[in-house]
Order: sequence, then C-alpha cells, then structure tokens
Amino acid sequence: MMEFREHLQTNIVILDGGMGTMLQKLGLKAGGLPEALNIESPELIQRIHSQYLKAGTEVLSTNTFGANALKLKGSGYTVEQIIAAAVENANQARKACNKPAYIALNIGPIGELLEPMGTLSFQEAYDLFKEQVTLGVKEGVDLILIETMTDLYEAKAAVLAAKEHSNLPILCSMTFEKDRRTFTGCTIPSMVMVLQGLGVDALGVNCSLGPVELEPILAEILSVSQVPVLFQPNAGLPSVVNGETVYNLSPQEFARYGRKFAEKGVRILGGCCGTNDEHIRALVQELQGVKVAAREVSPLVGVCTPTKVVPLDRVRVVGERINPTGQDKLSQALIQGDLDYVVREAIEQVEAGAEILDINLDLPEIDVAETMERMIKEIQAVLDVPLQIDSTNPDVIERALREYNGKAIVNSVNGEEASLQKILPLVKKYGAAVIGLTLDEQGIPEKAEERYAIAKKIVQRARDYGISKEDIYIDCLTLTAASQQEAIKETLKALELVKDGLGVKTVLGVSNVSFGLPNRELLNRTFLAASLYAGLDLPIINPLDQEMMDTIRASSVLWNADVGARDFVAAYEDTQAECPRQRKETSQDDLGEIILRGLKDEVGLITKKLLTLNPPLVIVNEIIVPALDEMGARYERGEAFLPQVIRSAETAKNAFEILKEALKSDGSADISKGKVILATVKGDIHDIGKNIVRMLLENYNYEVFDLGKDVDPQTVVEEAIKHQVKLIGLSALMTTTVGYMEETITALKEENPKFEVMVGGAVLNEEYAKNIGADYFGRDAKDAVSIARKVLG
Amino acid sequence: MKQEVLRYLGYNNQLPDEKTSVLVDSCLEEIAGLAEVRSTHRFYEIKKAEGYLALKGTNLILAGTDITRHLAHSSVCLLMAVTLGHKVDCKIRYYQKTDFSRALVLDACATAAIEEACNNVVQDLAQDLLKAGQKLTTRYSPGYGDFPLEIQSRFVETIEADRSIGLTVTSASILIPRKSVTAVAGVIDLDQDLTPPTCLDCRQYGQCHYSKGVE
Repeated sequence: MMEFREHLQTNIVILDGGMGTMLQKLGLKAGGLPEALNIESPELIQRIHSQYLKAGTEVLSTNTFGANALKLKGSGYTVEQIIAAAVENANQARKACNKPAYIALNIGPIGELLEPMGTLSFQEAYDLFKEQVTLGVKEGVDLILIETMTDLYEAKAAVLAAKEHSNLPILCSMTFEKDRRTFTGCTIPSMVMVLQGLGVDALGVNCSLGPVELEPILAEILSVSQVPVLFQPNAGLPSVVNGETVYNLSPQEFARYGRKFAEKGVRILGGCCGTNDEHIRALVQELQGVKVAAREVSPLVGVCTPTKVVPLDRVRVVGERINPTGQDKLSQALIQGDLDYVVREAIEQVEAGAEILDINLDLPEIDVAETMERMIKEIQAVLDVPLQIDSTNPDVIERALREYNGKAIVNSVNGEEASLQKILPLVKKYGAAVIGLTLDEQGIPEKAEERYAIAKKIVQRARDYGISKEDIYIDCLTLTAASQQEAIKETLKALELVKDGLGVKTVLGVSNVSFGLPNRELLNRTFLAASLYAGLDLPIINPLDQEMMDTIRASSVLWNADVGARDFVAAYEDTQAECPRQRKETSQDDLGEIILRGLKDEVGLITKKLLTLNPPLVIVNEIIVPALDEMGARYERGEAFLPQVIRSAETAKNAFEILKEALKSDGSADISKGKVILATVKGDIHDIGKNIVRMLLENYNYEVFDLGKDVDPQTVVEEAIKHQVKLIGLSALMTTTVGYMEETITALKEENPKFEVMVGGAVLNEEYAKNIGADYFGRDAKDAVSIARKVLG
Repeated sequence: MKQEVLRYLGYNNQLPDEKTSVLVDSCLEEIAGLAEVRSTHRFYEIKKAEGYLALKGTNLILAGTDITRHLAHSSVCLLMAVTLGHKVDCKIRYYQKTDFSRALVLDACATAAIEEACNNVVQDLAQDLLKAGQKLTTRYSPGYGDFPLEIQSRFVETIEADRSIGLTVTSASILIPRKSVTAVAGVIDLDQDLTPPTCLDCRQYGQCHYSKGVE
C-alpha cells in the first residue's frame, strides 16, 4: 500500500463515519464508555469497522476518541490496554475483509479544559496526548486523526505531541458552531494559521452540524488553507426525540454534498455523528470519477490569538513598553515577581490602541525563560492580543512559543550564521513569524544597499527552512540622530529597497532615533511619519504617546488604508466639541472622606497635596487606616456593602501607590507590617474572594504573596519557606476542593508547626475549619485583617 | 434582575448608594452583551431504588435522600444544562486586573443572568408540559443538600452537554465555563400541590449570606 502522504497528494481520501452514534444504536447507554467496548465486545467494534470497510472506507479510525488517562480514570482500563485493543480491532477487521485501509489513531478532546479557561496546564495536556501518540505508534497505526477540538490551545498540544513523538501524517479538525466560532471562541483564520504553522498534513472541520450548515465555514477554510482540507460533518442537524439524538440527512443527500465539496477542493471526506456505513457507501459511489480539484487560495498574512486575527493589511502598532530597558518600575516589578503590574502595563497599551505587544524580559536578576512563560500565560488569560517574543536566546524563544496560544512573532534573527541556524528552525517548528535585523558579524552596515543585502540573505535562508515569505518581517534598524545623524536616511532608504526588492513586511523600533536629544517626542513622530511614507508596516512604539498614535491614524487616512477615514472619524469626531482639557476639580479635600466614598479617580491629587504638608507615615496611620477601619465598621453594622468596601479599598490602594513612591524617595522605614501568603487551593479556581482578602490586607500594609488559584499544596509550602512567612491564608469554595485545603494545611504543619493558617470560603465554618486543622476561620475579608493583626501585629 | 444582583452583593432589601446603583446598571448592560446563552436538556424515566434513582437508558445514578425526596412524585425527570459561555469568564478575569469593583459586580450580574437563563429554559418547557396536564418541580442541582457534586462529569456526558453546548467539568467537579448550571427537575401532575422550598428548608440556613430576608 502507498504511504498515506503520497496517496493524499493525488487522491480524494474517504474516511469512515460515526462510531459513537453507531454504538448507541447498538445499545450503548448514554454516559457509558465507548472505549471499553474495544475490550469488552471486540466483535462489536470489528463489525462496525468491517461495515465501513465494505462500504469503501480508506481510513479506519480507531475507537479511541476518549482514550486518554484522564477520561479512563476509574474505568479499570489503562490507555495502553484500550489503544492496543482498539488498533487490534481495526487490524482484525482489515484482515477479515481482506481490504487495504489505513488505520488512524483517533484522538478527541481531553474532556477538561486548559488554563486559563480550565485548570489543566499546557504541559499536562501535552503529556496526556503524548501517551496516546506513543502507544499508537507502538501499535503500528498509519496516521493520527485529532478531531472535534474546540480549544485551539488543546489542538496545539495534541499536534505538538504527535509531531514530537511520531513521523506519522497528522490530520486535525475542529468543531465550529453557526457563529463561525468554536465554543471557546476560536475563529476560522486563527485555526488555519496555527495548525498550518504547526505543520499538519490536513486540517478541517467535523461534528456539530450537518453539511448544509457547515458549508459557509468550509468555504472560508478552503479559501485560506494552504494545506489539504478535511471535512466530516454530522448527518444533518441533531434533534432530540424521546431522549435520543436523531440525525435526519439521508445517505444520498449526504453524498451529494460530499461531491459538491470535493469539487470545490475538499481532499478528505468522511462523516461524524449520525452517519453510518450507508452514508459512506453512498459517498464512495457519488465520488466515482471525481478528480482532485484545484482551488484558489489567498494565504493569510498576519498573526493571531485563538479569538482574534491581526492581518497585516495595513499599519499595525506594536506596543514596546514591556521591556525593562530604561524602565525602573517595570524592572522592579519583574524582580519582585509582581506580574500583575506587567499585565496592567499590557492592558494599558492595548486600550491605547496597540494591536500586537512586544515582550522583552531581559534582566540579569531574573530567570528570563521561566518569567516569559508565566508572563505569556498571564497576558493571554485576560487579553486577546498577539505577542511578539523579544529575545535572542533560543531557550527563551522556544519556551515562549510553546506556551503561547496562537501565532506569534519572534523578535529577532539577524544575518549572523549562528543566529540564523538557531532561531529559524524554531520559527518554522512553531509556525511563527520572524523579524530579521539587517546586521551580521560585521555589525550594522552604514549603507542602505548593504543592509538590503543582509535582508535578502535572511529572507533566502528563512525560505530554505520552509518559512513562507509572508511570515518574514525585516527591521532595517533605527539609529540615533544624536550620534549617527547621516545614517537616519539610510534606514529609510533601506526600508524602501526591502519593500520594493523583497516584497516583505517591515518593522522599525522608532523611538531609538531621538535618544540623547531633547523633545524626543517631536523627533519620534517626525521619523515615524517619514518611515510610514517609506512603507513601514509595523512600527514598534509607545502607544501611550498620543501624538504617535495620531500620526499613525492620520497616515492610515492619507495612504488610503483607513478606507473612508472610518477609524479616523471614530477617533476624532468629538475633538471639536471637547473643551480644552480641564483638570477635574476635587469636590472633597478630606482624604478620609474620599476613601470612604470610594472616589478612586480623585484620590491622587489630594494625596499629593497632603504629602507637601505631612510625612507619608502620618498620612497612612492617621488618615487612611482610620478611614478603612471606619468602612469596616460600617460594613459590620450593615450600613455599607461589599461594593463600597471594595471601592474604598481600591481608593486607598491608589493613595498607597503614591505614598510608596514618597517613602522610597525619602528613605523612611518600610511600612510593611508582615508577610502573608494567599492561595486558592488545588482544584479550585474561585479567586474573587481571595483577591478581596488580598486587597484589604495590602490596604493594611501587609506584604502579600498571592500564589493565585489551583495551587498545589507543595507550592504553598515551598513559597512559605522561601518568603519566611508566618501566616498563610487558604481559600476554597467547593466541597470537592476542601480536601486539598486539608492536605495543604497538613503539609504546612508537617514542615513547620509554627506556620499559622487561616481559611475561608463558602462551604466552611468555624467548626469545619478546626476539623481540617486550620488555626483561624475568616468569615469575610474583614475577619482576615483582624486575624493578620492578631498574628502579625 | 437588579434586585437579585444586589442580594448577591450582600444587600438585604436596603437601597444601594448612587455609585453602586449606576455600576450595577452598567454591568447588567455589559453582561447582556457578553453572555452567549446555550442550553440543552433531556427527559428520562426514573427507576426508583433504595436510596437512589436510576435513569432509564443511561449510566447515571441520582443518589442521596434530598434528590429522592425532590423527585418523590415524579416518574419522569428533566436534566438540563445551561451556560453563559467563556467570554463572561474572560471579562471577569480582565476586570480583576483593572477595576476590581467592576469585576465583583459583573460576577454578581453573571450569576443573576445564569439563574434567569435557567428560569427561561424551565418556563419554556413548562409551557409544553402544560398541554399534557403536567408541570415541573423546582430545579435541583448537584451539590445541593446531599446530592453529590461529583456526578457533574457523568451528568454532562449523559445529556451530551459537552458536545451540544461546550460544557466541561474539571477533576474537582467545577463546571467550565464558570457561569453554568446543571439541574434536575421532576415532572409532576398539574394538581400536585408542592409548597416551593424556602430558605428554611436549606441545610445552609443560618450560615448563608444570601438568605432572602427570612433571618
């Protein structure tokens, strides 16, 4: 038999139809485990395989959709047993029918979602898939079929596991709803960009709907996918009759659609829920004589997250601010592990209009690769902005590209041989885009033509590695006007040469130009305007600089990218009506009252004013703390409610930010009253309560190490030792997770009986807390503060 | 719905201050745009056994005295699942980084929204049942009383809520998306007189922050 890849090159391939719905028809109960039947009734599974073979199926899909260690837990079977039996069943059917067919290891979703939506880490998901793939390879399957994915991150874990543990062809399909998104919000172009980038042999769509409803989704995939497209629809729309799901499309109708799609260029066809051997038989007949159809593809140019694509069809702003160079506050936050600060920095840039964020974490004091991983996780939990990994260290780049959910940009490779050899394979493997800097072993060439020559070399080498031209962006390097004034125009000239000669996208870090000169903003935006005129696609700038953003919006109008000036008008139509900016006058000048009323936008001014008259510590102890106490008392008496308490806390927090700066500069003593660790226990992901406690404790100047949610008991112990913490606060909301709370307390007490633990959460009470070994029970956040005062003073 | 949101935020018939009131209104509007309500349901014949109920044609067992009592007058029951989708979760995470008050209030609005979505599903089904002279008991969810939370995973698989509405369950039996509900309701005759349960019937009575003014 021909290798599958070879076969696919010249043929339309017929898969099989549904397995689960066939089994249900034969009596499998709802909620039962279909994979167990591989062992319990092998003859049943073999019969279904044989039916498909007789109908003309060319690829048998093993009955292993849910055969992962997580789903099989408690079933009495191991993954190894199930996969071995399942492949054997397919083999037996093939023998019995005496028909050649490929055997595909079928891999479905894990059943639990990955972070940030769920609790599985990317690595855990990868390991589950790895086990399946390794066993499938051992049993001799011919290809791997990953299907019914709704989460692109999970699909990525599966494809990577398959790539790294086999050389087999990989088919991957996802499940879309009528709104053209998967349940987790993944868009069609995001799927295509990412799966294609990871190097699957075919991608497509299966399940959820029938061929009629899926047609527009399929059409979109066909128009952009550069790899063969696979299609396995259900036998029409499901409807429930007497508690059973029924599908209504007849084999003949199903087959007619199959033919229609094959003629439009679909290369792999089969069925999903509700289809049976009759559907496949009809499909095979209908496809007789149908030749592989050519299709027109307009390749996607751009980057993405699962839910958002940023096409490079016009100028896109790359935010530069997550970079410790010259940013003391950010460096400090990174060193202290305060990733929340960095995340807020990311959010601010996106709100200001950045469409891609550059992430550079080069600081000698931190473990860059590890921080990069955490940073990416944190950012993608709250933002759907594509990221640009800014590092020249292959280890940092690889770990970032693994963790990142989507298609990223690698910033950067350069013309040096060592750089090309180390970076480009990573870019190819993970399907990223890459920025090439026009410098090499000899440094940055003075002349535009020489920079162009390096750019050409980089593009050629990237192409040799299989990276497509659309994914190579060239940076002609901005020099500083203060030291190399005559070189500025060489950069612009090189940019034009690259645009014309190589036809690739271009990038520039703009702000470099003004280094060492006054009125940097003016130079920056003038240079920006010139670069945009020269054809710059991706300016790397500070998006909080309003005038830079203004220049970009204006250029987009002038170069006819913002068609009809729609975005421009939306951004500026109110400008004329707006009076000259007035500073909001504070109606109150009593800081305590401002905190009580939760006027969080007004607190800054008055705090600064007070600082001119009082030392910071006096403000803390004589105004802020009494105000917070008063709010607490009002809450206790039922006169104030949670939203007011939180607003006060946020207001006080804003005041503290200013006071802390003042304390740092006047060198006064640390105002920390002691350290507390907070964590939502393993298994639990409810963290609003814990975050309220954190805010209040910080208001009272306790130094809080927030370990987040779903925290392993051992991590709590390690962090408690590392930070020499006396008080640990644990939160759990579910009866099912209180067990982990107890386990964490036991681990803490075993390590050091002097650790004191306070617990809180909806299912707990005083007595329950005692029973699981906690020292304190906090009914609410106010209680947590009282406990901290008692333990730490 | 605003009244419910305020109750989740700890108000007990008191009026909120102006700022809170405005915030709640604005979050209610936001949740209406964020929520992608999806639901699915199935009816099953109940097979009664000692201390538990089995559902015909499934591997699902409804265990515990509370659910047994809840379905005492039913021979058929409804299993339903409803979700608001992932966007809501993501936005609540987002506001926790930028505007915590808003995160808190949006979370409460989402809880009110999922309850309302459940009520809508039940009302629609009740309309259909009416023709057959039947109605539904109140909803009862895994985790209530001694009805074990651990059945979430099999519950979801049984009614195929994973495939039809994208509902998943973590190993600690937490539903994802977070703002989701699974519930059981009994089908009963129209003339069956059941007093709706009050806070006084609940095992959490006396410890709960959310009691409806019966303290």
